[in-house]
Amino acid sequence: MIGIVVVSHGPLAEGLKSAAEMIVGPQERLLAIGMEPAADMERLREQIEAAATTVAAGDPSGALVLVDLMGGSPANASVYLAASGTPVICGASLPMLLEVLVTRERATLRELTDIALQAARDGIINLTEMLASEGGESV
Amino acid sequence: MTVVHMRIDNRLIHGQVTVSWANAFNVNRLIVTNDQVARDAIQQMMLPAAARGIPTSVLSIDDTLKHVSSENGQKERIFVLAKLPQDALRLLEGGLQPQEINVGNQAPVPATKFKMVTHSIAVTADDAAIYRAIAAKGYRLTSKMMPSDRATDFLETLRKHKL
Repeated sequence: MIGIVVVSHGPLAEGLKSAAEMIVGPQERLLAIGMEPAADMERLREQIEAAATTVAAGDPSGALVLVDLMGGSPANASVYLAASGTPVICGASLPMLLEVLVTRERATLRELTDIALQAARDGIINLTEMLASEGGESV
Repeated sequence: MTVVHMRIDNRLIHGQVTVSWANAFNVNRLIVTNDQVARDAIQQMMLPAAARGIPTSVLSIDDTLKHVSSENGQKERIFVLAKLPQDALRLLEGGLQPQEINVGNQAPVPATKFKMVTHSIAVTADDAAIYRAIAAKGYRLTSKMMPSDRATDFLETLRKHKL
């Protein structure tokens, strides 16, 4: 099973993890890292890389890293991992995390990366507009 | 010479924050300055991508000074992001004349005797001496996160923390 690491500014990553577990139950091989305001970039990098190794835990499927914001320090600290081939996806969201958690047992790492990107895109919906355009069908 | 702003920040480019500063000063070039970062091929790739379309160069101290005084550099409105206070001081000693200098984030270095003077700025006694040397070149050092925040006098902050 593919391991997942979520990295964010402050407690967002821990919040995403706990929200996802509220929906799909407690998860193995899922770690959250929240960067503190005074975080050192080297230390943050080590933390992320260690977490990726931990969640992969000897399983050849590897790990997927989800970070909150392209250009932010959690993403910048993940860049060495990304350069070495571990998939790192920016724009972590609850739809993204949920979808990878429920599909990771049967997907390859390559497939799971695409699933993450697609789920985040599909998760953005203007509900008000949807209701207006898909109201009850006339007979 | 048109360095409109210099920020001292060891987290370098962080997305929206950097873009807000660049927009506030109508900047058309961002230079990230630190000798070690300039030698890192991955940072060379990553930092321009993180700057979201602002033309970005990752340069050593010497190359920063060279660019700023070059013909092209003279025409630009430049935002210099120095990783460390000593980088900023070396730039000033090399003749850089930014219009203002702001202190962003400085993470504590493990195993040094630092004080947290704000929630994200760690300062050692050595750092404090460098910040004073920067101010002594005629700058009112400020610390603020976003351009619209109220500026606090950074030397005043150091004094409050007995640094």
